[in-house]
This record gives sequence, structure tokens and C-alpha cells, in this order.
Amino acid sequence: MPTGEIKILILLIPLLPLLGFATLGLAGRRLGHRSIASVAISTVALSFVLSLIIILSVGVNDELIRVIFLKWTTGAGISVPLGFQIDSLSLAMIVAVTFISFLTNIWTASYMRDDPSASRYFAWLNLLTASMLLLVLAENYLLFFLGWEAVAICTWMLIGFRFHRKKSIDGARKFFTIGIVGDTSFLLGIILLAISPLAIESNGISRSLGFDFIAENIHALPLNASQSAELTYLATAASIFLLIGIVARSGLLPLSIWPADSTQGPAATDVMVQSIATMASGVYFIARAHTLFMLSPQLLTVLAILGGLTAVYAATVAMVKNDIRRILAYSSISQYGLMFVGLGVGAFSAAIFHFLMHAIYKSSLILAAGSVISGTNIERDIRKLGGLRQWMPSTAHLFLIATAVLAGFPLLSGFLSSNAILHDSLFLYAISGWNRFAGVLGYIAVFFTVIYSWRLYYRIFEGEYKGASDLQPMEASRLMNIAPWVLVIMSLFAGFIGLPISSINGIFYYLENVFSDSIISAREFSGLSPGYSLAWIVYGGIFIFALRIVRSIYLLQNQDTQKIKVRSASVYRVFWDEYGLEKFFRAVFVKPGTWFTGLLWRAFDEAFIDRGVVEGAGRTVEKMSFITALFQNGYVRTYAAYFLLGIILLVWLASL
Amino acid sequence: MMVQIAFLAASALVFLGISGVILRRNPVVMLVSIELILNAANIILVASDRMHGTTDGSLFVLLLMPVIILEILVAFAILIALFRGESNADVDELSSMSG
Amino acid sequence: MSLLSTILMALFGLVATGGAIAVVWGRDPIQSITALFVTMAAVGLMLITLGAYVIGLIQLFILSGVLFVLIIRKAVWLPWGERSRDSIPSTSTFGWILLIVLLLMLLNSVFQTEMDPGMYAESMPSAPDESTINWWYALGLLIILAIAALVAMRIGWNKSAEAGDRGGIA
Repeated sequence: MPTGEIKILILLIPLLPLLGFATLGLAGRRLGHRSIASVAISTVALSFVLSLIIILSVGVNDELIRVIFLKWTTGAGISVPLGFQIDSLSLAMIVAVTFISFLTNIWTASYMRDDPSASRYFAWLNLLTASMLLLVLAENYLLFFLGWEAVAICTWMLIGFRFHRKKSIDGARKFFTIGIVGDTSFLLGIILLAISPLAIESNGISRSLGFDFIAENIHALPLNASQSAELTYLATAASIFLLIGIVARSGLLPLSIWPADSTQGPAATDVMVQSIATMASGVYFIARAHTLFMLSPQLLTVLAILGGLTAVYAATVAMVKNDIRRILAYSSISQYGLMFVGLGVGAFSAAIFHFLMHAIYKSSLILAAGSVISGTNIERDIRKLGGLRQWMPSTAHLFLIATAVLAGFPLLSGFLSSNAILHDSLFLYAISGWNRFAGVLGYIAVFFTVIYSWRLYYRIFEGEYKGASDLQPMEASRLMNIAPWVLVIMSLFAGFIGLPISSINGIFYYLENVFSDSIISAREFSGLSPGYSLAWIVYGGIFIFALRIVRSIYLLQNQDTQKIKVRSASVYRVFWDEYGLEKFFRAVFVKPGTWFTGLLWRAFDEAFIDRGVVEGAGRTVEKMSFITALFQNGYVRTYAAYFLLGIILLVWLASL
Repeated sequence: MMVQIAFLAASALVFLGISGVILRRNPVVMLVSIELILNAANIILVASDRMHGTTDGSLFVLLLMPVIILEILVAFAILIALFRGESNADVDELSSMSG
Repeated sequence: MSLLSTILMALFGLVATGGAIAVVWGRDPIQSITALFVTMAAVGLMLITLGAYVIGLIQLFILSGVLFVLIIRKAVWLPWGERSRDSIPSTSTFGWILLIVLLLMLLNSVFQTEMDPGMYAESMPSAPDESTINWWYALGLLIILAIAALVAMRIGWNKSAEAGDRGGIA
């Protein structure tokens, strides 16, 4: 396909949802529900079709296609073109984003059928899709940051969509506050990168922040360790700041407190936040800018360990929580932790593979959970559910399959993708012992993942119904169930693009040219390598073991399980408190912060500015005018005497 | 010497005019004293001209004369309006705009 | 030549100053106005002596004569009140202090200033020569006398002007 056509099509892909946002935002109130839904769905659907067209016509390409729409150079000499870069990674991402957004919009159309504020929701949903597409397609750091911030705003709006409810506002505010800290750090990182020697263009004066440009500059650095100290410091500092932004955005420890509280809006918000947009931006960024991070291998290792710890942490917390959507949020945090293990270890293709698979099955789970909640009269607590399989058979089956995928049933997509990461961290080109440690953490997380996911399924759909006896749970409508069913069926088979068999030109081969400079580059498989088989077997073993535990605890209530419950009460409390993380943040940041702003408000704003300055100015003027009024006794001759005084002074001054 | 005497006379007129404004209570007399001051100004302008050989001062005097006439007219109009119906023209009674 | 002009200037200066004193210490407003007329005429003569003929003439006729008439016409519309109360000059201590300071300053500046003709001494217009001076002065004096006579007639004419009676000159 000639470049001109690609240029137009690729511009349309983020532009169409943007137009959808504008239309719905401006005219949404006046449209009927059908029109609103059609506008929203059609823009995303068209973008999806266009992405398919492009990805099919570009094929597997070795070179990167850059499309520039506008050139712009800032006053500081930094050139920031409005341009997109099209390579395998971005194409895979835009197909995934548009596809999942499309299905989410369809689900939302059914969910919001009677909601008067539907146009507002669809508008922000479209803008979120457009922002994520911009983020993915951006060819330089600054344009990426624009998309990053746009995603943050849309997420904030969508989380706090039901703004009449305090919980929604609080959740949105929490996300935004943590996000701001991260975004500031991110911007700082970009600035440090811009002032580093990596960004200087060939003419020596202007600078460019293109992803590809900086990657080429890094490749051109001399291979020995005698780089200038300035470069090393700046690159490392930039990477650290960027990573802080990613930690905040993707919910890694210690900033993983926001995704659980972000589940207050409609379920479609959770899908976008957890599977394809907000938390995904961090993963995509590291994949895109991996060359920069590879300059600081220790940082990557830290990231891997952080990801592993996050995975274990979130999986253990998910085991004890009782709100369906919070459990799923912690599940997402855990799976993202696993992705960062992959990214930190250098297994970028594996991480992206897992990301795509997770997007599919997690979206399915969340949407199915949405069906459960709306079918039980907004009951989110699993302690009040149970045995729903008899009333909601379709949802139950789809949830079962999705849970199996999440837990890692062998040869389903979750199994294949998690294993890709775990195998790479343990067996393939492991350069440091810490990588292996991260991989071990990942396996521990897998154990807990199996437990919490099956627990969730059993509690909702098996056993006895513990809800109010007069309420009859209802199955979700057909329309609502389309999206999760499509996704779950995909998740069964999608994993095959990542089978480690050389005769399949799977995802690793597809992404090879993007990650050709990573430590773990293209795989050469001659059948199933021994390492891979071992990884699979270990995983399978954990799976079965954990499954047995779950069955015994939740299905067969025998004596041993009771004793386990009693003895582990303290551990339970630790998990329930999220290891005290929430309390820590409240005590260290929120309380002093509120105290300080209260101080500023009362002492500074009210006392000083309102009473002191504003009223004080008035009082001072009043006093001074009182003093000057003493001179005005109304007698003309006195005033004449004042004139004379002035004349005398003037004459005297003039004679000096 | 002549110019010096002129300056001396003008200074005397200025002083007397100012003291007339301050010391007298009758508004007419105050106005007349102001006229004295203006006349003194005239003298000084022309005397300085004579001293330096310029003609600028005399030109200014020409400008000043209509001003003198007009100011008298306006001032008297105001005075008549102020003191209409009063029994006594005393400037010290105009003290209501105080404080 | 310069002696004559000096003497004339001194004479007119004395008349002007005397008239100014009469203005300030006049018993009633009519006296002050009349004294003003005399002072202004003297000032006009001083201007003529200084060499500004046109201006001096304007001052003499228009300013002193016409203005005098104007003021008299207007002044009769104002209430006079009791003479004794008005005629005493009075002011606050503040005013007296300021007047004394002003006097000192004026004396200081007048007696300290060097009357330096400057570099234009040669190009100064000379004082009018005797022939012209005589004529001018005769004319001026004549007019002063005429107006003074008119005023005297006027005041004698209608003594009740003091009592606020309208009368009016024309």
C-alpha cells in the first residue's frame, strides 16, 4: 500500500473516535439512545476495520514507517513533529485497542440503555479510545506524553462518572492524585532525556525526541563502557523518573492503591482501565522505549523484581477480598506485575504477548462480572451471592471458561502467555540471579492466582444462594452477553499465536524486528526446548496443587479446612489490610496533606489574605483618610494658608 | 537699577497680595488681592524680558491678560451665587464641607 | 536717561505698593477695589517704563480701567455687612507664621539676586527717549486722573452704595 494511503488511513484511526467524542459531547443530549450508541460504536468499529486493513497490508515489515503530519520546532530547539510510527508493535496495539474498545462499546450500549447520561459516557469512552490510539501511534516522547495525559483525564472522568456518589468521586480523585505524581515524574524524565546528549540531532543544535531517533542514537554509542559520565547520569536519571511515572500509572507497588477504588463506575470503565488503556500505557511505553531502559540494566532488574512483588502482593490480597470488581482489579494488578517481570527481564515480546492475552480474557471477566452485578440488583459482595449458575447459565459458563484461562489452564492463552514470561525469566539468557528471583516470584503469584480466581468463580456460581430471598437474580440480556462471549472464545484460541514452535510464525516472529536489540531476541525453536517443557510442567503442577486446595476449602467443608481457617486468621488480616499499604498512605501523605492545606486555608487564606490584606487595606485607607480629614476644616482661608505653605516649600526647594 | 526696583516692587505686590488672601474675610477683597498677585507676575515677566533682552515674557503676558479678565468674571459669578440672600459676605461662613 | 527711568520706576513702584497696602487694609470692599485700580494703573506705567509699550498700554486701559468698571458693577451686588467686622485682618497662628516666612524669603531673594543684564545688554531695547516718554506719561497721567475723577464722582454721587443699594453705574 503506498505511503500516501497509509498516511490518510492511519490518521483516521485516532481521528474517528475523536470525532465521535466531539459529536457526542456537543450534540449528545439531543440524540436518542440508538443514535448515541451508533455514533460511538461506529467510530470505533471503523477504526478497527482500518487497523485491520493496515495490518494486513503492511504484513511483517522490517522497516518502520514514519508518517509525519506536521512539523513543529519549539523555541528551545526541540523538534516535535505530529507524527505516527507504524511498526509491528504499534499495529498489534491498535488492532487490540480498537477491537476491545469496539466490544466494550457494544456492551455499554446494552448496559446504558435507560441511562440519561449515556451520551456523556460514550463521549468519554470514545475520547479514551482516541487518546490510547494516539499514545500507541506516537512517534516521539512528547506526543506520547500528550496521549498519556489524555488517557489520564478520560480515565478520571470515567471513574468518577457517577459523580453523585461519593465513592466514585473519591476513587477518581485517588487515581488522579497518584497519577499526577507519576505524570510529573514522567515529564521530568522526558525533560532530562531532552537535555541529554541522546537527543541532539546531527546538526548539533536542534534536538529531537523521536522514539526511533533516540534508539538509533543509543545504538550508535560506542560499545565499551567509556561513555561520558553526563550521558550515563542523565540517561539513568531520566529512566528513573520515567519509571516512577510508570509505577504510578500501571499500579505497581507501592502505588497500587488506586485500581481497587477505581471500580466505581460502569463496568466498561474497568475494562478500559485494566485491560487496554490506562494500566496498559506503562507496559507499552517500556516496550516502545526499551532501548533507553536497556542502558540501565540494573533498573530493569529492579523493575522485574518490583513486578514480581506486585504480582504476589496483589494475588494474595485478591484471595481475601469480597467485592467482585475489586477482586478483578487486584487480579489485573497482579497480572501487570507479571508483565513487568517480563519487561524487566528483557523478554519484551513475551510481555506484550501476555498483555494482549490478558486484555482479552480480563475484559471478558469484567464484562461478565458486570452482568452478574446488574443481574443481582447491584450486589457486588460475593458473600451474598452463590449458586447463580441456575439463574444465569450463560454467564456462568463464560465466567468459568474465562476463569480457567486466567488461572492458567494448560494450553489456553493465559497459560501460554504467563509461561512465556516465566520461562524467559528463569531459563533463557538469564543474566543475573535477580532475574531468576523475579521468575520465582512469578510462580508464587501463579499459585495464588489459581486460588483467587477459582474462589471467585465458586463463590459466585456454586453453592447456595446467600442473597435476599425475595430477589430473583436475572440473566443478562443477549446483547450484553455478546461481547464477553466473543472475548472468551477468542481467549481460548488466541494463545496459539505464541506457541513456542518454530513452524508457527507467531507473535514472537512478528515482533522480532521491533525488539531485535533486546537481550532476548528472536527465538529459534527446534521444537519444544527442554527449558520450555520444564516450565510448562512446573506451571501445571502448581495449577493442580492450588486447584485441589481451592476445592477443599470452598467446596468440601471438612475438618481440616476449618482448622486452616482458624490458624490463618492473622495472615488473613494482613492480606485484608492490603499489607497496610492504604493505611500507610493515609497516615503519611493524606493526613499531613489535609492538615497542611487546612492550615493554609485558615491561617493564610482566611486570616491573612481575607482579613489582613483585603480588609486591612480598607481599614488602612479609612484610618488615613480620617487623618487627612482632620486637615479639612472647611475654611477657605485655611486652605489658602495651605497653598501658601506649598508655595513656600516649592520656592525653598527650587532655591536649593 | 530700574529692573531691580521693578523686581522689588513686584515682590512687595506678591507679598501684599498673598497676605490679602489670607488675612481678609471679605470675598471681594480676597479676589482683588489675587489680582495684585497677577499684576506682580506681569511685572516680573516684563522685567525679566528687559533684563535678558528676550520677548518671550511679554508674549506670555499677552496670554495672561485674558485669563485675568475671565477669571474675575467667573469668580464673581460664583460669589454672587454663593452669597445671594446672605446678610453678610463672610468667607468664614462657608465651612460646611469639613471632615 | 537711566536716571530718569530709575526715578520714574521708583515713583510708580511706590504708588503700586501704596495701593497694594490700601487694598489689604481697606475699610470696605469699595476702597479695596479703588485701591486696586490705582495699583494696576501704576503697574501699567511700570511696564511702559520697562519698555513693553503695548503691554503697558493694555494694562493701563483695559486691565485697570475696564476691569475696575467690571468689578465695581459686580461688587455692588454683594452684601457688605458691617465694616468694622470685616476690615480687621485676621488669620490663625499658622497663617501669620507662613506670612512672616514668606516675607523673609522674598527679602532674602530680592536683596541677594544679582541683577545681571547678561549678554544681551547691548541688544536691549533702550528705554524710550524723553520725547516719547513725555507724551506717554502725559497721556497716562491724564487717564488716571480722569478715571479717578469719575470714581470720586461716583462715590460721592451715591453714598448709599455702601449700604448695598443697587444704584449701578450704568
